[in-house]
Amino acid sequence: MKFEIIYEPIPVIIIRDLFSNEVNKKILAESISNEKEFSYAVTGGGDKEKVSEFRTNLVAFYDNMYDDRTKSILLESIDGLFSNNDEFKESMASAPYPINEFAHTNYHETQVSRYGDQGQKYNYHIDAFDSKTRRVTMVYYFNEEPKPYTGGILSVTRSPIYKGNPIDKTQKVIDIEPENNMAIIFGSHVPHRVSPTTSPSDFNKGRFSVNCWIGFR
Amino acid sequence: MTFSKDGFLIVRNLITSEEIERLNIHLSDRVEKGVDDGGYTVTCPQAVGSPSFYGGDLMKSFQVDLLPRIEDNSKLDLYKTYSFARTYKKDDILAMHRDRPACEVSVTIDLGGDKWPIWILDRYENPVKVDLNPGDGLLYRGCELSHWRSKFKGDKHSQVFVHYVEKGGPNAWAKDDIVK
Repeated sequence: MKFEIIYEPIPVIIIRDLFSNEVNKKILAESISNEKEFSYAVTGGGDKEKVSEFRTNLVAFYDNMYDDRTKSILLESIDGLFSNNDEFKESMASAPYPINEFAHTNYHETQVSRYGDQGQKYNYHIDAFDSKTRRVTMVYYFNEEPKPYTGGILSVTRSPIYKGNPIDKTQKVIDIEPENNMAIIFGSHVPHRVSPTTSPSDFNKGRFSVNCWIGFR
Repeated sequence: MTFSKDGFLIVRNLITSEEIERLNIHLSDRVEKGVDDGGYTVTCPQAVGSPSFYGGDLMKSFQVDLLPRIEDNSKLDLYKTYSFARTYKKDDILAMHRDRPACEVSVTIDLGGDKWPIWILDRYENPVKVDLNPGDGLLYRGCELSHWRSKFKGDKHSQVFVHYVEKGGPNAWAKDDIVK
């Protein structure tokens, strides 16, 4: 693992080479084989869920797909990272607030996203619907190499947001270009977006990511 | 595509329709009538609740019959190790895995039911989807190449697996699967 820390204006941790090359390749292979489990994402939660221009990517809910989590190389790897990897755990525990809350968490959700085709995106949003179950967000990226897509930049801002846009245009935005086998970690209340992503329509040519929302239950 | 170069090979119509029928009847007898054929039932963590059978007289005989066809397609001289038959049920998942040494040259054969592709990670680490029809077989180096099946959406799917090791090879000791 290779760590890069951004302190201002918002704490963000970037980890390159999160998993071994072998595990990274297997996570991609597993997701490609799960193509039929992906569907268009909805936003809003509960009765207000809807497919909209606000968010246009595909998602698969691995937590629901695998009753036995050890049957998924992705879930097994993520679970192992959070529970058994001392380098990762100590780094998170000593990171700036709120990332250091990871040390006290006992729960995470796991959703896989695929962006691509003709500009799939996710406008500015926050991940935290409540204060407990989503405290820290980790996004892990995986894709074929060389990278088959363009765009898909993750942007984070300190500005409050309204209807997918920052209110305070004077606030600095941090743009991070995803790389294969990279993780980006930030507080779940941090506004962030995924810029339009373009890729060949072949499912395997997309920009894949695992969204992990980590918190308490 | 060759077995020696790629480590796997799809063989269409590896077994005859008569063999498919005989194996399906055999599997059905064991599942539904509890017929004892000398093998044993196993509870496999890869498919809990799906009937799975190791060995048995008919499967041993079938594996011997099949040997020349596998040697011809793999261009290898082989010993048989063991066989396995299973009927999968809805929502089964075969986790990505590699097999034990007795599975140096493995063959999975489709006996019919709802379609369910098998995936294999090739020697260039690309996932390859393999769709089989009843009677088709996939030969693969089970200890070397990771393979798996994603969640089964159908109701029923039957397969037999037969495993071999190379004569004079590093896993020849696994002949007949006596030493595990």
